[in-house]
Amino acid sequence: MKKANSIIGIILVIALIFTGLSTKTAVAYGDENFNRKDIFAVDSLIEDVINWKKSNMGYEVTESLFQDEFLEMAGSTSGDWYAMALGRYGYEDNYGSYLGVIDDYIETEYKTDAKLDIYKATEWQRIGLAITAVGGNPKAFSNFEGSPIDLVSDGSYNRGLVQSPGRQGINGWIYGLIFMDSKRYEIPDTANDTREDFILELLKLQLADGGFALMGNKSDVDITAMTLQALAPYYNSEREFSYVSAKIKDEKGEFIPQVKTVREVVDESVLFLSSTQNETGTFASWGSENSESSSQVILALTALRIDPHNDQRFVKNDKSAIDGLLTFKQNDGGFTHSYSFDSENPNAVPSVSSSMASEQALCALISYDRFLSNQRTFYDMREDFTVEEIAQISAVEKSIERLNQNSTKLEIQQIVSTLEESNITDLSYVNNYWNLSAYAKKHHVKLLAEKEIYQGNQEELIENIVAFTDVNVKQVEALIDYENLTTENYVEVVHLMYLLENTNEFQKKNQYKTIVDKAYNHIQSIKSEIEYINMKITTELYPFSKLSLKDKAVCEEIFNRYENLSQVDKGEVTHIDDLIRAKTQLDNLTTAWIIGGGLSAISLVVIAIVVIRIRKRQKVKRSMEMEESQE
Amino acid sequence: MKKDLVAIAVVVFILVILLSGTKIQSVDDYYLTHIDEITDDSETIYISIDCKTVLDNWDKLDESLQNEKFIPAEGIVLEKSQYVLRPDDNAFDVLDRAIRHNEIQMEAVYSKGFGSNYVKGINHLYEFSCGELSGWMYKVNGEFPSYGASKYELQDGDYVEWVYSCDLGRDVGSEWGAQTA
Repeated sequence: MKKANSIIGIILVIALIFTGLSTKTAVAYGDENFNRKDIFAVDSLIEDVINWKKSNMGYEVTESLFQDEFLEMAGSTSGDWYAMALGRYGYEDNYGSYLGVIDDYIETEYKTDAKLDIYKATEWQRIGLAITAVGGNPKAFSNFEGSPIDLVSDGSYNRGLVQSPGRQGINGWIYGLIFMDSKRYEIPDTANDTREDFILELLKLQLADGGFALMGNKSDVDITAMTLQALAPYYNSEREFSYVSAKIKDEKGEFIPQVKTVREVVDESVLFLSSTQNETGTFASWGSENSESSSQVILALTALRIDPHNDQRFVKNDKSAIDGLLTFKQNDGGFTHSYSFDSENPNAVPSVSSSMASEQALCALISYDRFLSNQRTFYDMREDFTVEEIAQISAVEKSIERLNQNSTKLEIQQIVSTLEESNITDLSYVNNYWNLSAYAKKHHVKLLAEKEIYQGNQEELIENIVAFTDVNVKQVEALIDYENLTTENYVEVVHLMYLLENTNEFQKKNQYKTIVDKAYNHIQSIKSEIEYINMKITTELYPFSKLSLKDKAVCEEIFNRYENLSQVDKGEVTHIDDLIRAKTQLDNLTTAWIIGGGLSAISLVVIAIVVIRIRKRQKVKRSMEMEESQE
Repeated sequence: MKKDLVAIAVVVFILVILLSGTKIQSVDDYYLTHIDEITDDSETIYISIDCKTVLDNWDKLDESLQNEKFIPAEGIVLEKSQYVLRPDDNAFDVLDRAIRHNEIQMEAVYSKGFGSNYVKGINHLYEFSCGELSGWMYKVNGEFPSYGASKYELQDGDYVEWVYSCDLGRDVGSEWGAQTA
């Protein structure tokens, strides 16, 4: 998932791959023996990962994850996926503080030319999905030039006005489509790219072996799985797409034209994934078995309503895709990236959980949990199904299940009309719809019109009212002592701002707002002071060899401003050692000038005295000579 | 006469001191201001920065960067240079020092998830600036380490090369990139 975001993924993620022989360890999941048919406690697996993350951050398991250091990662890959996962799981935590920090982050970033990023649309997509999952509205979030920002538009269907979503590669299309579909947003007619455009861009990138990749002609498990997560909502659509492949050529070297439904493409990709599964149930990416590949496959299968624990295509040697993922689970509750041994790589040491492997496993397990309870998929963030809706879907599925070779046209027609009359608007949740579709074609039964799948049917957004508690009141009152505020108070202050922005009216609200705003401005001024000092250090000190007394005033100014910062804020200044070095160099230079000047002055005085003495002697000598000559 | 000679001797001595450039410093100050000075017994490393691959992928390069200011002739941003190896120096520290001392622009972000700095751009050339597979990578003694630069601790004599790839590392000789080629 991290890969979605940048070449970081490529350099730091895929790069965590070792060609050496793997020293595979036995199944790491506790002492329990897994039986594939067992219904095991997914909930406890999920809680284990969350608790691992908390301990890893240095928090107690009873504490909130959304505090201090973790909140500083809001808006970055290290923080957003955890937030998204917790939100999708419905975990109780301090989501307001997360939204508060991200709100301020976006507002600040939007003031720059590149906004959230110059090339990466996935910055909007990941942040937007995280905001949605924790209860915010990405269609109207934060502020830019006095109006709320539409992250969905800026990061998906209108991103192309600035930079193609595909500028960073296939990920921009994948997560753009996922983002647009997270609430099945309606795409305006004026959009730069429609839903179909995003789907087509993905279909065009399919490789001859059925899957997808960042580059080259061999499919990659992770990218294939991610693409399936994006295409999943269209699996039951009968629409045929005509396009020219951007990857597959005929004998003459020409790119070949294709006519395919999403279902055909997905089926080919699923087959590819199935063929790459190992005997232990795991998957490999770039030649190395790793947990993230398993996590992405599970996210893909659950999005497609394929059981990752029982579907025969994903059980090898009696080990399912779920079993495969669990081989990476550590005793501390987290997940490790890989068991390949590399003494130098701290991320890959067996029995050491990594943040990224754990966050992806968390998303996969939550997606599996949703699958088991027939709920909406991980990325389908619309209001969850009611019990009645689930029952309705299940009834239709059962009637489809009963169809067989001897089923009559009438029977098929009946199911189609039941579906049509039902409230089921999203066919992607009818698991075996493809089966009905096949029978319908055989018996020439007209299938129902696709309901709103391509134009979207966004539900009404419920306004998000948050509570302002006594604890919050105390927090506000503690801020009045402005002079003691440091950058450490930032997270708390933006959280309070967010709460005041989204809470009901109350008597002292405006008064509190004034206090919080003042505190915010004070912290912002500290931040810009730190930024100024850092900028000055970078531009004024180097190279050291060229420092001269001319630079002394600037150097002293920076140093004094640094000295005026509080102890905490001083820690935010980078390369203070270089500033001290420059200052010492200049101080020494001054001392040298003073001593040199002093010595020169002494020399002059001595020379003068000597000269005077010589003259005096000459005078005495001359007068003596004159006296002699007179005599 | 004798006194004059002594006085002249003093003056000559002072002039010798001044002209020889002898600096009057405390030991600490001397150490601080000479920390990067290479002496016979200092441990050192080498570092270079290049974006040669961009020259072969000019058409993919962001138009605003198609300028000698950003892509120097031959694609060499920093020639192979020798630096003093300070205690606990890692591959990122050395880059950070080299770009500062040579007044080269750089942007890096510290990722808590990875526990490492990630170099986004050097000399205004960023990840994705030259196509969807482009970005900065580093090698040490010709090998591509599989983890973040802040985690790679350097040893005496190491050679750190920061190279810009336009093809996920394959064009700069990364083995893992070649796996799927």
